[in-house]
This record gives sequence, structure tokens and C-alpha cells, in this order.
Amino acid sequence: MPQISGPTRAYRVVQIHPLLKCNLRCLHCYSESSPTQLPSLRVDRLCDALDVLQREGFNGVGLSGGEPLLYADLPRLLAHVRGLGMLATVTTNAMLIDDAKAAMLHELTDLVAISVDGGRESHNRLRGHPRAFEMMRDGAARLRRAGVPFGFIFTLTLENLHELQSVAEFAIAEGATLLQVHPLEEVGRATAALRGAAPDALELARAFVEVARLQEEYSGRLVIQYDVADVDVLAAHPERGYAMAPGEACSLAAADGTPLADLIAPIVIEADGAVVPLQYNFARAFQIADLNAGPLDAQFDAWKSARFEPFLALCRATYQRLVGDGARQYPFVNWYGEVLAAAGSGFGVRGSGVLVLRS
Amino acid sequence: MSEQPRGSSKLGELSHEELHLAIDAARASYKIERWWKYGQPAIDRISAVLDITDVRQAPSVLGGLTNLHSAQRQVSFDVFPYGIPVIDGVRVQLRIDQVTGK
Repeated sequence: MPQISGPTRAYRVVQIHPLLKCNLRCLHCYSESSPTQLPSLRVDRLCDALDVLQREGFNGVGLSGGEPLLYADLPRLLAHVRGLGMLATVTTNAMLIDDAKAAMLHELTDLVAISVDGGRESHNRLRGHPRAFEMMRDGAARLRRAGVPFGFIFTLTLENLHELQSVAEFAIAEGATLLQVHPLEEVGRATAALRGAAPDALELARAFVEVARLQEEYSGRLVIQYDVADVDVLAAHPERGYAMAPGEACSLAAADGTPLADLIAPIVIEADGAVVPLQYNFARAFQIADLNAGPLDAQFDAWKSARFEPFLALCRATYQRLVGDGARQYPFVNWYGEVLAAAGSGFGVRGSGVLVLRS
Repeated sequence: MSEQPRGSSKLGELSHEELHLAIDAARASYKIERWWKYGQPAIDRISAVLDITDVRQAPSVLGGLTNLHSAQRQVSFDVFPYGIPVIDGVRVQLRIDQVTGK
């Protein structure tokens, strides 16, 4: 069956934020997670949604938050994911991992991703906690002893590229299999707390060179994954950015029974029940469904017929701006961040592939 | 925060031309073919179990899996019919290995 390969090809993931409660209040948080945040999703509602989404072709679930280890029903939710035959990953600050939680994660997850933001000083400053680094390291050690595959996620800012090598060495020393380098996005709390700290084009380019150097140096010991789009690759494969020519994909949506995952992945379930494309806090004008608003099948069908085409047009407009910009100095962009920003910047779509600005 | 020096400045200065040369050299060994979200690793293996409860659909499902196979994507699967005496379902144990672009 035809499908759009999107940015992640065969790995078609549902990212779930079951709660916004967190033991930390990080400066770079892309939501507003904190100890005082209360919204959370009922586990039975999430399990019901995953039943539908698995039938719609999704094969992976990424759990984050908030801090997912504060979600009381996490074991039940992960067991359900496992029962559906889907891959399960958990993103955590690792500070709350005790031996019991490590054993649970060993049984029910495929990979745990631990956030790390540089050396001890940088990490603790961004996390707003004087012992965040030590507690994270203790949690990682418990995972290692329990045999849980884990990796680290390094948030790249305008100011911390020089710490990447020490983070890579730390990751190897701790027994990680993966180091994910992800650019800071100035959304959520980071909008105000870290204004101007997102890496610009020059810093993304320098980071690419550094990632390649470190990958060569640590080849065979650590996989380093850099979460930016190469503009030249995007230009050659616009479908990876959902930026096909207008009309090219819409016949897919119109076909009866086309699974949702053949059209859009990743998708995100937020703590208020909203299901959105690609990114946390994606503009609600492009919302796919609401877990609190009735049967998902009907909502998915409605999205395919009414909102999929505007979504494609949004991606196409973003693509044309990124790829068609002859003045671009360096060929790397944070594609997810660019589309998120475009969706929230007042772009609306009316008609077939025609962009108009909302007044 | 934004008044701090760039992280890259502590790795040594590169001119515009030098950086482009460095990018070209780096691309020879490190390629970004796909891009991922925070907390989502570049999964390079997918294992799944498919239960086909309508046996009439089995040939088209298996044909579709076969078509997924390519130089970049190695698809393998085992098929286990079940039901006695009449086959009323098929279980497919599927594995997809793919090049992650690294």
C-alpha cells in the first residue's frame, strides 16, 4: 500500500506525554512541566487510543512528560504497549530510578533515553537542581546493572557545543549505546528562560562537523545521532519533510482505509488529550484528534479529509522557504522546529495548496 | 544566556570557507538521511508479530511485506498458520533491519 515515508520511515511513533508533572523545572523544557503541574491522562483512555493507533499502523511509542516515572500507571501503560507488539522508549531525567523501577523498565521497555545537558555544572544549572547530575548518574548506573539499554540526549544550545566531547566520553563510561544530540527549541519554558539560546545555522553547522568527528573517534563504541535535517537531503527527498508537490499525497488520504501512520508520523498525544502532528504543542488548527472527544476512528477520518491537505501545504511552504533560500549559508536546519514555528506563526491554509495568512 | 560566547568558539575559529570544507569532509563519513525527535532513537530494527485473522488477506499482506524489501531495508518474516482443522488465521513474525543513515 502506498505511504509517505516521512522523516522517520518505517519507525512510526506515537509520542505520549501522559502528564506534565515533573520533579524538576528545567530552563529548557519544551513544555511547562514542573512539580505543580497536575494535568494527566487516564491510563485506560491511553490504552484504548493505542489499540486504535496500532491498527492505524503505528509501531512505536515514546513516553515522556513531565517525568514519566511519576506517572503511577506507567507499568500498566508500558505492558499494554508491549502487548500490542509496539516498541517502547521512555525519556527521563533518571533521578527517580531505583532498583525496582530499573527492573520494571528492563521488563517493559526497549530503550531508555536520559537527558544530559553537559558537564555537572551545566547540567545542574539547566535543571535547576544542585544534585541533578549525581542523581542522574546514579539512575544510569542502576539501569546498567539491570541490563536496560539506554542512551543519553544532549540538548545543543548556542553555548555548549564544546561540552559535547565530554558528554560522549561520559556516555561511553556509563555504558550507553546512544548519544542523541538535539537542538534546543525555544518553546514552552525555554521561550522565556533561554531566549536567544537556540543554536543558529552557524552553530548547527559547527555541531555537524563535531558530531562527525566524534562519531569517527568513537566508532563501534557509541552511536551519535544528530537531530537536524540536511537541507540537501531534504531537497532531494521532500517527502521526508511532508513537502511533496500539492496534490501528490492527497489521493492517499482520500483512499478508503489508508492507515493514519501511512500519512503522518510521528504524532504526539499531549497531557490534555490532544493528538497533534510531529511536535508537542503543535498549533491546534492542525490537531488530529482529542482523546476526550469521542471515537478516534471518526476523528481520524475527519482529519484525513479536512486537515491533512492544509498540513501538507504548511510543510510545503516551510520546505520552500528552507530549500529555496539561495542565501542560506549552511545546509542544516531543525526541521521539526521550523514546521512547528510556521504552524504557530499565523499560517493558515484555504483551498488546495494555497497559503494565506490569518488576519 | 545569549551573552555567553558560542560553544563552537571554544573549539577554535573557522572561517566561512574553512567551515564549508569541513562540512564537505564530514559528509563523506557522516550522513543525515533521517531526522528524529527528542527522545526518539533512530531505530534500525523493528520486530513485530502480526496476527492476520482473515486468511483471505494473508497473500496481500505477505506480498506487501515482500515489497518492502530493498537494499536499504532487509525484511524477513516467518509465517505460522493456525487453526485445526481449518486454518482460521496466520501469525507473522516480522523483522525489519534498515540502514540508519550513519
